[in-house]
Amino acid sequence: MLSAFSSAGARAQTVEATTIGGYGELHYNDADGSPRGSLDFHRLVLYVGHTFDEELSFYSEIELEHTRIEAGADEGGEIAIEQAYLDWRFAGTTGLRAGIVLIPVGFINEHHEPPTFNGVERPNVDKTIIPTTWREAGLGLYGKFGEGVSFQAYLVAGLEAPGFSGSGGIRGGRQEGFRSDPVNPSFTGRVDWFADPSVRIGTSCFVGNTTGGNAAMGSGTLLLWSGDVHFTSGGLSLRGTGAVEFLSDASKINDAMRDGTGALTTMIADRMYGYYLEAAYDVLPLVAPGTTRSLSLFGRYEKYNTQAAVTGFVTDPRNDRNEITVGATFKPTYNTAFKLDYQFLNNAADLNSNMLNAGIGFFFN
Amino acid sequence: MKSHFIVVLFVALFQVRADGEGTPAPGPVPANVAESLRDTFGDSVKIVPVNIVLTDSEKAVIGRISTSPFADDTLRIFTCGSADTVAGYGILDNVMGKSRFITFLLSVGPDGAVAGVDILVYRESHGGEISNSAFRRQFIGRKAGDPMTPGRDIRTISGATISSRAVTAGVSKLLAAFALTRGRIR
Repeated sequence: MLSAFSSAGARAQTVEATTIGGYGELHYNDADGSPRGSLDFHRLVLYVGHTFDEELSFYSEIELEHTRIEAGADEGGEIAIEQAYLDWRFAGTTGLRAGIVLIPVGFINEHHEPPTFNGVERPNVDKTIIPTTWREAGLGLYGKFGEGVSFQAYLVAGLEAPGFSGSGGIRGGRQEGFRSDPVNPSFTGRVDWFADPSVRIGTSCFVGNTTGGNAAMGSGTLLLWSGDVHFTSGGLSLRGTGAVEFLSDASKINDAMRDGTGALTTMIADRMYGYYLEAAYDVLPLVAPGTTRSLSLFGRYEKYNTQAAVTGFVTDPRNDRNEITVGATFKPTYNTAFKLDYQFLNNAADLNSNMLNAGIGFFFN
Repeated sequence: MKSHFIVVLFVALFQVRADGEGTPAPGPVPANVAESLRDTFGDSVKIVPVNIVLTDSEKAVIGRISTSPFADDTLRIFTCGSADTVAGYGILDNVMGKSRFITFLLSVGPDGAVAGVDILVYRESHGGEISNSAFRRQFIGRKAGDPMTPGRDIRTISGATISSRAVTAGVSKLLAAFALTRGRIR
Protein backbone atom coordinates (compact mmCIF):
# COMPACT_ATOMS: atom_id res chain seq x y z
CA MET A 1 0.00 0.00 0.00
CA LEU A 2 0.95 3.63 0.01
CA SER A 3 3.56 4.96 2.29
CA ALA A 4 3.30 8.51 3.58
CA PHE A 5 3.49 11.33 1.11
CA SER A 6 7.10 12.35 0.92
CA SER A 7 8.50 15.81 0.71
CA ALA A 8 10.01 14.87 -2.62
CA GLY A 9 6.73 15.78 -4.21
CA ALA A 10 3.94 13.37 -3.43
CA ARG A 11 5.81 10.51 -5.03
CA ALA A 12 4.34 7.97 -2.77
CA GLN A 13 4.18 4.40 -3.97
CA THR A 14 7.36 3.16 -2.37
CA VAL A 15 6.18 -0.16 -0.95
CA GLU A 16 5.80 -3.22 -3.14
CA ALA A 17 2.21 -4.25 -3.75
CA THR A 18 0.37 -6.85 -5.82
CA THR A 19 -3.04 -6.26 -7.32
CA ILE A 20 -5.46 -8.58 -9.07
CA GLY A 21 -8.46 -8.03 -11.28
CA GLY A 22 -10.05 -9.61 -14.27
CA TYR A 23 -12.76 -9.81 -16.85
CA GLY A 24 -14.98 -12.43 -18.42
CA GLU A 25 -17.83 -12.99 -20.81
CA LEU A 26 -20.48 -15.64 -21.34
CA HIS A 27 -21.98 -15.87 -24.83
CA TYR A 28 -25.08 -17.41 -26.28
CA ASN A 29 -24.86 -17.70 -30.08
CA ASP A 30 -27.72 -18.94 -32.20
CA ALA A 31 -27.07 -19.03 -35.93
CA ASP A 32 -30.06 -18.85 -38.22
CA GLY A 33 -30.92 -22.35 -39.44
CA SER A 34 -29.17 -24.25 -36.69
CA PRO A 35 -31.40 -26.43 -34.49
CA ARG A 36 -30.38 -24.57 -31.36
CA GLY A 37 -27.75 -22.19 -30.12
CA SER A 38 -24.85 -22.76 -27.79
CA LEU A 39 -23.73 -21.30 -24.50
CA ASP A 40 -20.05 -20.67 -24.12
CA PHE A 41 -18.11 -18.97 -21.35
CA HIS A 42 -15.86 -17.51 -23.99
CA ARG A 43 -13.13 -16.16 -21.80
CA LEU A 44 -12.14 -15.56 -18.22
CA VAL A 45 -9.08 -13.41 -17.77
CA LEU A 46 -7.22 -12.63 -14.58
CA TYR A 47 -5.06 -9.56 -14.24
CA VAL A 48 -2.11 -9.76 -11.94
CA GLY A 49 -0.06 -6.64 -11.43
CA HIS A 50 2.81 -5.83 -9.16
CA THR A 51 4.37 -2.57 -8.20
CA PHE A 52 8.07 -2.79 -7.46
CA ASP A 53 8.66 0.86 -6.76
CA GLU A 54 7.55 4.29 -7.87
CA GLU A 55 8.66 3.74 -11.47
CA LEU A 56 8.72 0.02 -12.07
CA SER A 57 5.73 -2.30 -12.29
CA PHE A 58 4.63 -5.55 -13.86
CA TYR A 59 1.30 -6.22 -15.51
CA SER A 60 -0.19 -9.41 -16.86
CA GLU A 61 -3.36 -10.95 -18.20
CA ILE A 62 -3.79 -14.71 -18.10
CA GLU A 63 -6.70 -16.04 -20.09
CA LEU A 64 -8.71 -19.24 -20.06
CA GLU A 65 -10.87 -19.53 -23.16
CA HIS A 66 -13.91 -21.80 -23.48
CA THR A 67 -13.80 -22.96 -19.85
CA ARG A 68 -11.47 -25.94 -20.05
CA ILE A 69 -8.66 -27.79 -21.72
CA GLU A 70 -8.80 -31.55 -22.00
CA ALA A 71 -5.89 -33.75 -22.85
CA GLY A 72 -6.53 -35.54 -26.11
CA ALA A 73 -9.65 -33.58 -26.95
CA ASP A 74 -9.88 -32.39 -30.53
CA GLU A 75 -11.62 -29.22 -29.51
CA GLY A 76 -11.16 -27.26 -26.40
CA GLY A 77 -10.14 -24.01 -24.93
CA GLU A 78 -6.77 -22.54 -24.32
CA ILE A 79 -4.79 -20.98 -21.58
CA ALA A 80 -2.81 -18.07 -22.86
CA ILE A 81 -0.84 -15.11 -21.62
CA GLU A 82 -2.37 -12.06 -23.25
CA GLN A 83 -0.03 -9.58 -21.66
CA ALA A 84 3.01 -9.87 -19.42
CA TYR A 85 5.37 -6.94 -19.34
CA LEU A 86 7.59 -4.86 -17.17
CA ASP A 87 6.76 -1.19 -17.27
CA TRP A 88 9.49 1.28 -16.33
CA ARG A 89 8.13 4.80 -16.23
CA PHE A 90 11.53 6.45 -16.04
CA ALA A 91 10.70 10.05 -16.89
CA GLY A 92 7.35 11.52 -15.97
CA THR A 93 4.89 10.31 -18.58
CA THR A 94 7.53 8.48 -20.62
CA GLY A 95 8.32 4.85 -20.05
CA LEU A 96 9.69 1.63 -21.44
CA ARG A 97 7.62 -1.51 -21.72
CA ALA A 98 9.13 -4.96 -22.34
CA GLY A 99 7.61 -8.42 -22.43
CA ILE A 100 4.48 -9.66 -24.14
CA VAL A 101 2.72 -6.46 -25.14
CA LEU A 102 -0.53 -5.74 -26.91
CA ILE A 103 -0.05 -4.53 -30.46
CA PRO A 104 -1.48 -0.99 -30.27
CA VAL A 105 -3.35 -1.27 -33.57
CA GLY A 106 -7.02 -0.35 -33.67
CA PHE A 107 -8.90 0.29 -30.45
CA ILE A 108 -10.44 -3.00 -29.35
CA ASN A 109 -7.10 -4.82 -29.27
CA GLU A 110 -5.94 -2.76 -26.31
CA HIS A 111 -9.35 -2.12 -24.74
CA HIS A 112 -11.27 -5.36 -24.98
CA GLU A 113 -13.00 -5.71 -21.61
CA PRO A 114 -16.54 -6.78 -22.56
CA PRO A 115 -18.45 -3.85 -20.98
CA THR A 116 -16.36 -1.39 -23.00
CA PHE A 117 -17.79 -2.38 -26.39
CA ASN A 118 -21.28 -2.98 -27.75
CA GLY A 119 -22.27 -6.36 -29.12
CA VAL A 120 -21.77 -9.78 -27.61
CA GLU A 121 -18.93 -10.57 -29.99
CA ARG A 122 -16.12 -8.19 -30.82
CA PRO A 123 -16.51 -6.57 -34.24
CA ASN A 124 -15.40 -9.00 -36.92
CA VAL A 125 -13.07 -6.37 -38.37
CA ASP A 126 -11.35 -6.57 -34.99
CA LYS A 127 -11.00 -10.32 -35.38
CA THR A 128 -10.13 -10.76 -39.02
CA ILE A 129 -8.36 -7.63 -40.22
CA ILE A 130 -6.97 -6.61 -36.81
CA PRO A 131 -6.48 -10.02 -35.19
CA THR A 132 -7.44 -9.33 -31.58
CA THR A 133 -6.22 -10.16 -29.05
CA TRP A 134 -2.96 -9.49 -30.88
CA ARG A 135 0.11 -9.61 -28.70
CA GLU A 136 3.75 -10.28 -29.36
CA ALA A 137 7.00 -10.35 -27.43
CA GLY A 138 8.96 -7.16 -27.73
CA LEU A 139 9.85 -3.85 -26.19
CA GLY A 140 9.29 -0.20 -26.79
CA LEU A 141 8.51 3.27 -25.52
CA TYR A 142 5.35 5.15 -24.68
CA GLY A 143 4.70 8.71 -23.65
CA LYS A 144 3.15 12.01 -24.60
CA PHE A 145 3.90 14.72 -27.14
CA GLY A 146 2.75 17.66 -25.08
CA GLU A 147 -0.88 18.25 -24.24
CA GLY A 148 -3.34 15.78 -25.64
CA VAL A 149 -1.10 13.64 -27.86
CA SER A 150 0.09 10.19 -26.74
CA PHE A 151 2.32 7.68 -28.50
CA GLN A 152 3.44 4.07 -28.29
CA ALA A 153 6.26 2.51 -30.36
CA TYR A 154 7.48 -1.07 -30.11
CA LEU A 155 9.86 -3.48 -31.77
CA VAL A 156 8.27 -6.92 -31.63
CA ALA A 157 8.64 -10.43 -32.98
CA GLY A 158 6.78 -10.33 -36.26
CA LEU A 159 4.16 -12.35 -38.08
CA GLU A 160 4.78 -15.60 -39.95
CA ALA A 161 3.36 -15.69 -43.47
CA PRO A 162 2.77 -19.48 -43.56
CA GLY A 163 -0.04 -18.88 -41.07
CA PHE A 164 -1.87 -16.40 -43.30
CA SER A 165 -4.95 -17.45 -45.23
CA GLY A 166 -7.37 -16.16 -47.80
CA SER A 167 -10.33 -16.16 -45.45
CA GLY A 168 -8.64 -15.48 -42.11
CA GLY A 169 -6.17 -12.87 -43.30
CA ILE A 170 -3.10 -12.44 -41.12
CA ARG A 171 -4.66 -13.89 -37.96
CA GLY A 172 -2.96 -17.27 -38.22
CA GLY A 173 0.46 -15.63 -38.51
CA ARG A 174 0.62 -14.40 -34.92
CA GLN A 175 3.36 -15.84 -32.73
CA GLU A 176 1.97 -14.55 -29.42
CA GLY A 177 5.20 -14.97 -27.54
CA PHE A 178 5.16 -18.76 -27.92
CA ARG A 179 8.79 -19.60 -28.65
CA SER A 180 8.64 -16.63 -30.98
CA ASP A 181 11.11 -16.59 -33.81
CA PRO A 182 12.61 -13.09 -33.93
CA VAL A 183 13.62 -13.51 -37.56
CA ASN A 184 10.94 -11.01 -38.66
CA PRO A 185 11.44 -8.06 -36.29
CA SER A 186 8.57 -5.66 -36.82
CA PHE A 187 7.69 -2.13 -35.84
CA THR A 188 4.32 -1.18 -34.46
CA GLY A 189 3.23 2.19 -33.21
CA ARG A 190 0.30 4.35 -32.39
CA VAL A 191 -0.44 8.04 -31.95
CA ASP A 192 -3.60 9.31 -30.27
CA TRP A 193 -4.94 12.82 -30.25
CA PHE A 194 -7.34 13.68 -27.47
CA ALA A 195 -8.90 16.81 -28.83
CA ASP A 196 -11.34 16.89 -25.95
CA PRO A 197 -12.63 14.35 -23.41
CA SER A 198 -15.33 13.62 -26.00
CA VAL A 199 -13.06 13.06 -28.97
CA ARG A 200 -10.26 10.55 -29.45
CA ILE A 201 -8.59 10.15 -32.83
CA GLY A 202 -5.92 7.50 -33.25
CA THR A 203 -3.75 6.15 -36.01
CA SER A 204 -1.61 3.05 -35.79
CA CYS A 205 0.59 0.81 -37.91
CA PHE A 206 2.38 -2.50 -38.02
CA VAL A 207 5.19 -3.11 -40.51
CA GLY A 208 7.64 -5.93 -40.94
CA ASN A 209 8.70 -8.87 -43.07
CA THR A 210 6.85 -12.14 -42.61
CA THR A 211 8.82 -14.82 -44.46
CA GLY A 212 11.82 -15.23 -42.19
CA GLY A 213 14.28 -14.77 -45.03
CA ASN A 214 12.89 -17.65 -47.07
CA ALA A 215 14.17 -16.66 -50.52
CA ALA A 216 11.42 -18.55 -52.31
CA MET A 217 8.78 -16.43 -50.55
CA GLY A 218 10.48 -13.09 -50.99
CA SER A 219 10.38 -10.67 -48.08
CA GLY A 220 6.61 -10.76 -47.53
CA THR A 221 6.62 -7.26 -46.12
CA LEU A 222 3.35 -6.45 -44.41
CA LEU A 223 2.22 -2.87 -43.91
CA LEU A 224 -0.91 -2.47 -41.82
CA TRP A 225 -2.30 1.01 -41.38
CA SER A 226 -5.26 1.74 -39.17
CA GLY A 227 -7.26 4.65 -37.87
CA ASP A 228 -9.98 4.93 -35.27
CA VAL A 229 -12.24 7.69 -34.02
CA HIS A 230 -14.38 7.93 -30.90
CA PHE A 231 -16.89 10.64 -30.14
CA THR A 232 -19.31 10.96 -27.25
CA SER A 233 -21.82 13.67 -26.50
CA GLY A 234 -24.49 13.25 -23.89
CA GLY A 235 -25.94 9.81 -24.45
CA LEU A 236 -24.60 9.57 -28.00
CA SER A 237 -21.52 7.50 -28.77
CA LEU A 238 -19.95 7.13 -32.20
CA ARG A 239 -17.08 4.82 -33.06
CA GLY A 240 -15.28 4.10 -36.27
CA THR A 241 -12.29 1.95 -37.11
CA GLY A 242 -10.62 1.21 -40.42
CA ALA A 243 -7.56 -0.75 -41.43
CA VAL A 244 -5.81 -1.65 -44.67
CA GLU A 245 -3.05 -4.21 -45.14
CA PHE A 246 -0.56 -4.47 -47.99
CA LEU A 247 1.48 -7.65 -48.31
CA SER A 248 4.35 -7.78 -50.77
CA ASP A 249 5.27 -11.07 -52.43
CA ALA A 250 1.88 -12.65 -51.68
CA SER A 251 2.03 -14.60 -54.94
CA LYS A 252 5.51 -15.89 -54.08
CA ILE A 253 4.26 -17.02 -50.68
CA ASN A 254 1.31 -18.79 -52.30
CA ASP A 255 3.59 -20.42 -54.88
CA ALA A 256 6.04 -21.57 -52.23
CA MET A 257 3.23 -23.27 -50.36
CA ARG A 258 1.76 -25.23 -53.27
CA ASP A 259 1.27 -28.91 -52.53
CA GLY A 260 2.98 -31.81 -54.27
CA THR A 261 0.58 -31.62 -57.19
CA GLY A 262 1.30 -27.97 -57.74
CA ALA A 263 -2.08 -26.86 -56.45
CA LEU A 264 -2.42 -23.75 -54.34
CA THR A 265 -2.91 -24.46 -50.65
CA THR A 266 -3.14 -20.82 -49.68
CA MET A 267 -4.75 -17.88 -51.42
CA ILE A 268 -3.21 -15.04 -49.53
CA ALA A 269 -4.08 -11.61 -50.83
CA ASP A 270 -1.89 -8.69 -51.76
CA ARG A 271 -4.31 -6.33 -50.06
CA MET A 272 -6.92 -6.67 -47.31
CA TYR A 273 -9.06 -4.05 -45.64
CA GLY A 274 -11.91 -3.56 -43.25
CA TYR A 275 -13.82 -0.84 -41.45
CA TYR A 276 -16.82 -0.35 -39.26
CA LEU A 277 -18.98 2.48 -38.06
CA GLU A 278 -21.07 2.25 -34.93
CA ALA A 279 -23.61 4.55 -33.32
CA ALA A 280 -25.10 4.03 -29.87
CA TYR A 281 -27.47 6.03 -27.72
CA ASP A 282 -28.13 5.62 -24.02
CA VAL A 283 -31.90 5.84 -23.71
CA LEU A 284 -32.23 5.06 -20.00
CA PRO A 285 -31.92 8.67 -18.76
CA LEU A 286 -34.90 9.53 -20.94
CA VAL A 287 -37.15 7.36 -18.78
CA ALA A 288 -35.16 7.36 -15.53
CA PRO A 289 -33.47 10.75 -15.07
CA GLY A 290 -30.56 10.66 -12.67
CA THR A 291 -29.94 6.95 -13.10
CA THR A 292 -26.38 5.73 -12.94
CA ARG A 293 -27.24 2.71 -15.11
CA SER A 294 -27.30 2.77 -18.89
CA LEU A 295 -29.19 1.09 -21.68
CA SER A 296 -27.55 1.73 -25.03
CA LEU A 297 -29.24 0.87 -28.28
CA PHE A 298 -26.71 0.51 -31.05
CA GLY A 299 -26.18 -0.30 -34.67
CA ARG A 300 -22.93 -1.20 -36.40
CA TYR A 301 -22.04 -1.60 -40.04
CA GLU A 302 -18.93 -3.58 -40.92
CA LYS A 303 -17.27 -4.10 -44.27
CA TYR A 304 -14.15 -6.20 -44.70
CA ASN A 305 -12.45 -8.16 -47.41
CA THR A 306 -9.48 -10.48 -46.88
CA GLN A 307 -8.96 -10.80 -50.65
CA ALA A 308 -9.38 -7.22 -51.81
CA ALA A 309 -6.55 -7.59 -54.33
CA VAL A 310 -4.90 -10.85 -55.37
CA THR A 311 -2.37 -12.13 -57.89
CA GLY A 312 -2.47 -15.45 -59.71
CA PHE A 313 -5.90 -16.72 -58.70
CA VAL A 314 -9.53 -15.69 -58.60
CA THR A 315 -10.89 -14.18 -55.42
CA ASP A 316 -13.47 -16.02 -53.37
CA PRO A 317 -16.49 -13.69 -53.05
CA ARG A 318 -17.27 -15.17 -49.64
CA ASN A 319 -14.30 -13.22 -48.31
CA ASP A 320 -15.89 -9.91 -49.30
CA ARG A 321 -18.16 -9.44 -46.31
CA ASN A 322 -20.53 -6.84 -44.98
CA GLU A 323 -22.36 -7.16 -41.72
CA ILE A 324 -24.95 -5.24 -39.77
CA THR A 325 -25.33 -5.69 -36.02
CA VAL A 326 -28.17 -4.13 -34.04
CA GLY A 327 -28.71 -4.60 -30.35
CA ALA A 328 -28.76 -3.32 -26.83
CA THR A 329 -26.27 -3.14 -23.97
CA PHE A 330 -27.60 -2.75 -20.45
CA LYS A 331 -24.99 -1.75 -17.90
CA PRO A 332 -26.08 -1.87 -14.25
CA THR A 333 -22.63 -0.54 -13.44
CA TYR A 334 -19.93 0.76 -15.73
CA ASN A 335 -18.06 -2.54 -15.44
CA THR A 336 -20.91 -5.03 -15.90
CA ALA A 337 -23.01 -5.57 -19.01
CA PHE A 338 -25.94 -7.60 -20.25
CA LYS A 339 -25.97 -7.74 -24.04
CA LEU A 340 -28.36 -8.75 -26.77
CA ASP A 341 -27.88 -8.33 -30.50
CA TYR A 342 -28.83 -9.62 -33.91
CA GLN A 343 -26.41 -9.86 -36.80
CA PHE A 344 -27.00 -9.89 -40.55
CA LEU A 345 -23.87 -11.55 -41.93
CA ASN A 346 -23.67 -11.06 -45.68
CA ASN A 347 -21.03 -11.65 -48.33
CA ALA A 348 -20.54 -11.00 -52.01
CA ALA A 349 -21.41 -14.64 -52.82
CA ASP A 350 -24.88 -14.00 -51.38
CA LEU A 351 -24.33 -16.81 -48.89
CA ASN A 352 -25.91 -14.83 -46.11
CA SER A 353 -26.78 -15.81 -42.58
CA ASN A 354 -28.15 -14.26 -39.45
CA MET A 355 -27.12 -14.71 -35.84
CA LEU A 356 -28.77 -14.02 -32.52
CA ASN A 357 -26.38 -13.34 -29.67
CA ALA A 358 -26.84 -12.76 -25.97
CA GLY A 359 -24.25 -12.46 -23.29
CA ILE A 360 -22.95 -11.06 -20.06
CA GLY A 361 -19.64 -9.38 -19.46
CA PHE A 362 -17.76 -7.85 -16.58
CA PHE A 363 -14.44 -6.56 -15.45
CA PHE A 364 -13.07 -5.56 -12.09
CA ASN A 365 -9.85 -4.21 -10.69
CA MET B 1 -24.65 24.40 32.94
CA LYS B 2 -24.28 20.66 32.94
CA SER B 3 -25.13 20.38 29.27
CA HIS B 4 -22.70 23.20 28.52
CA PHE B 5 -19.95 21.27 30.32
CA ILE B 6 -20.70 18.16 28.30
CA VAL B 7 -20.50 20.14 25.10
CA VAL B 8 -17.17 21.63 26.16
CA LEU B 9 -15.87 18.16 27.07
CA PHE B 10 -17.03 16.75 23.75
CA VAL B 11 -15.36 19.56 21.87
CA ALA B 12 -12.18 19.02 23.88
CA LEU B 13 -12.16 15.30 23.11
CA PHE B 14 -12.86 16.05 19.48
CA GLN B 15 -9.92 18.42 19.36
CA VAL B 16 -7.66 15.75 20.80
CA ARG B 17 -8.91 13.35 18.18
CA ALA B 18 -8.49 15.88 15.44
CA ASP B 19 -5.27 17.55 16.36
CA GLY B 20 -3.72 15.61 19.17
CA GLU B 21 -1.22 12.79 19.33
CA GLY B 22 -3.10 10.70 16.77
CA THR B 23 -2.76 13.27 14.04
CA PRO B 24 0.36 12.89 11.94
CA ALA B 25 2.26 16.13 11.84
CA PRO B 26 2.18 17.64 8.38
CA GLY B 27 5.51 17.47 6.63
CA PRO B 28 6.98 20.08 4.32
CA VAL B 29 4.90 21.13 1.36
CA PRO B 30 5.86 18.87 -1.59
CA ALA B 31 7.37 20.83 -4.45
CA ASN B 32 4.80 19.78 -7.02
CA VAL B 33 1.97 20.61 -4.62
CA ALA B 34 3.37 24.11 -4.09
CA GLU B 35 3.83 24.62 -7.80
CA SER B 36 0.27 23.58 -8.55
CA LEU B 37 -1.24 25.69 -5.78
CA ARG B 38 0.71 28.79 -6.81
CA ASP B 39 -0.46 28.28 -10.40
CA THR B 40 -4.02 28.29 -9.11
CA PHE B 41 -3.98 30.85 -6.30
CA GLY B 42 -1.04 33.10 -7.20
CA ASP B 43 2.70 33.11 -6.76
CA SER B 44 2.66 35.12 -3.56
CA VAL B 45 0.44 32.87 -1.45
CA LYS B 46 1.82 31.36 1.70
CA ILE B 47 1.09 27.64 1.85
CA VAL B 48 0.50 26.04 5.23
CA PRO B 49 -0.02 22.26 5.48
CA VAL B 50 -2.73 21.05 7.85
CA ASN B 51 -3.60 17.45 8.60
CA ILE B 52 -7.16 16.63 9.60
CA VAL B 53 -8.01 13.17 10.88
CA LEU B 54 -11.44 12.08 9.76
CA THR B 55 -13.78 10.62 12.32
CA ASP B 56 -15.66 7.42 11.68
CA SER B 57 -18.92 9.33 11.44
CA GLU B 58 -17.42 11.71 8.87
CA LYS B 59 -16.11 8.80 6.83
CA ALA B 60 -19.55 7.22 6.95
CA VAL B 61 -21.15 10.40 5.61
CA ILE B 62 -18.52 10.72 2.88
CA GLY B 63 -18.90 7.05 2.02
CA ARG B 64 -22.53 7.62 1.17
CA ILE B 65 -21.55 10.35 -1.29
CA SER B 66 -18.54 8.80 -3.01
CA THR B 67 -17.42 5.24 -3.58
CA SER B 68 -13.77 6.29 -3.51
CA PRO B 69 -12.08 4.86 -0.40
CA PHE B 70 -9.58 6.71 1.74
CA ALA B 71 -6.05 5.34 1.73
CA ASP B 72 -5.90 6.39 5.37
CA ASP B 73 -7.83 8.59 7.78
CA THR B 74 -5.79 11.73 7.31
CA LEU B 75 -6.93 14.51 5.04
CA ARG B 76 -3.90 16.42 3.76
CA ILE B 77 -4.96 20.02 3.34
CA PHE B 78 -2.90 23.05 2.36
CA THR B 79 -4.23 26.50 3.16
CA CYS B 80 -3.15 29.18 0.73
CA GLY B 81 -3.27 32.88 1.44
CA SER B 82 -1.79 35.72 3.40
CA ALA B 83 -1.87 36.56 7.10
CA ASP B 84 -5.47 37.72 7.06
CA THR B 85 -7.10 36.21 3.98
CA VAL B 86 -7.51 32.72 2.62
CA ALA B 87 -7.17 32.46 -1.16
CA GLY B 88 -8.07 28.79 -1.21
CA TYR B 89 -7.18 25.30 -0.18
CA GLY B 90 -5.43 22.32 -1.67
CA ILE B 91 -6.22 18.72 -0.77
CA LEU B 92 -3.78 15.95 -1.69
CA ASP B 93 -4.99 12.40 -2.17
CA ASN B 94 -4.47 9.10 -3.95
CA VAL B 95 -7.08 7.13 -5.84
CA MET B 96 -6.65 3.62 -7.20
CA GLY B 97 -6.58 3.35 -10.97
CA LYS B 98 -6.61 -0.03 -12.68
CA SER B 99 -3.74 -1.36 -10.60
CA ARG B 100 -1.74 1.60 -9.32
CA PHE B 101 -2.36 4.76 -7.36
CA ILE B 102 -2.97 8.11 -8.99
CA THR B 103 -1.81 11.06 -6.88
CA PHE B 104 -3.86 14.19 -7.46
CA LEU B 105 -4.39 17.61 -5.92
CA LEU B 106 -7.79 19.23 -5.62
CA SER B 107 -7.80 23.01 -5.27
CA VAL B 108 -10.85 24.59 -3.69
CA GLY B 109 -11.72 28.29 -3.45
CA PRO B 110 -13.01 29.96 -0.26
CA ASP B 111 -16.53 29.44 -1.61
CA GLY B 112 -16.02 25.67 -1.63
CA ALA B 113 -15.98 25.43 -5.42
CA VAL B 114 -13.29 23.56 -7.31
CA ALA B 115 -10.56 25.89 -8.52
CA GLY B 116 -8.46 23.18 -10.14
CA VAL B 117 -7.56 19.52 -10.33
CA ASP B 118 -3.97 18.49 -10.97
CA ILE B 119 -2.69 14.97 -11.61
CA LEU B 120 0.63 15.01 -9.76
CA VAL B 121 1.80 11.45 -10.32
CA TYR B 122 0.27 9.03 -12.80
CA ARG B 123 1.63 5.51 -12.51
CA GLU B 124 -0.67 3.37 -14.65
CA SER B 125 0.60 2.08 -17.97
CA HIS B 126 -2.51 3.29 -19.84
CA GLY B 127 -4.86 6.18 -19.21
CA GLY B 128 -2.47 9.06 -18.51
CA GLU B 129 -4.66 11.25 -20.71
CA ILE B 130 -6.59 12.27 -17.59
CA SER B 131 -3.73 14.73 -17.11
CA ASN B 132 -5.00 16.66 -20.12
CA SER B 133 -6.40 20.01 -19.08
CA ALA B 134 -9.55 19.44 -21.15
CA PHE B 135 -10.50 16.62 -18.80
CA ARG B 136 -9.48 18.38 -15.60
CA ARG B 137 -11.27 21.62 -16.48
CA GLN B 138 -14.61 19.85 -16.22
CA PHE B 139 -14.44 19.95 -12.43
CA ILE B 140 -13.89 23.69 -12.05
CA GLY B 141 -16.75 25.43 -10.27
CA ARG B 142 -18.31 22.25 -8.94
CA LYS B 143 -19.16 22.06 -5.24
CA ALA B 144 -19.89 19.35 -2.72
CA GLY B 145 -23.18 17.71 -3.59
CA ASP B 146 -23.12 18.70 -7.26
CA PRO B 147 -23.85 15.76 -9.56
CA MET B 148 -20.64 14.22 -10.87
CA THR B 149 -21.70 11.01 -12.52
CA PRO B 150 -18.89 9.81 -14.81
CA GLY B 151 -20.02 9.62 -18.40
CA ARG B 152 -22.91 11.98 -17.76
CA ASP B 153 -21.84 15.02 -15.76
CA ILE B 154 -18.13 14.38 -16.25
CA ARG B 155 -17.08 13.14 -19.66
CA THR B 156 -14.75 10.19 -19.36
CA ILE B 157 -11.88 9.68 -21.79
CA SER B 158 -12.19 6.81 -24.23
CA GLY B 159 -9.50 4.30 -23.31
CA ALA B 160 -8.96 5.92 -19.91
CA THR B 161 -12.33 5.15 -18.40
CA ILE B 162 -11.09 3.61 -15.16
CA SER B 163 -8.72 6.49 -14.43
CA SER B 164 -11.38 9.05 -15.38
CA ARG B 165 -13.86 7.46 -13.03
CA ALA B 166 -11.34 7.07 -10.22
CA VAL B 167 -10.40 10.75 -10.26
CA THR B 168 -14.05 11.82 -10.54
CA ALA B 169 -14.95 9.74 -7.48
CA GLY B 170 -11.90 11.13 -5.72
CA VAL B 171 -12.88 14.73 -6.39
CA SER B 172 -16.41 14.05 -5.20
CA LYS B 173 -15.03 12.45 -2.04
CA LEU B 174 -12.63 15.29 -1.25
CA LEU B 175 -15.30 17.95 -1.80
CA ALA B 176 -17.55 16.14 0.66
CA ALA B 177 -14.69 15.76 3.13
CA PHE B 178 -13.74 19.41 2.79
CA ALA B 179 -17.32 20.57 3.36
CA LEU B 180 -17.52 18.46 6.51
CA THR B 181 -14.17 19.43 8.00
CA ARG B 182 -13.38 22.96 6.87
CA GLY B 183 -14.53 24.33 10.22
CA ARG B 184 -11.63 22.47 11.78
CA ILE B 185 -8.98 23.90 9.50
CA ARG B 186 -6.93 26.44 11.44
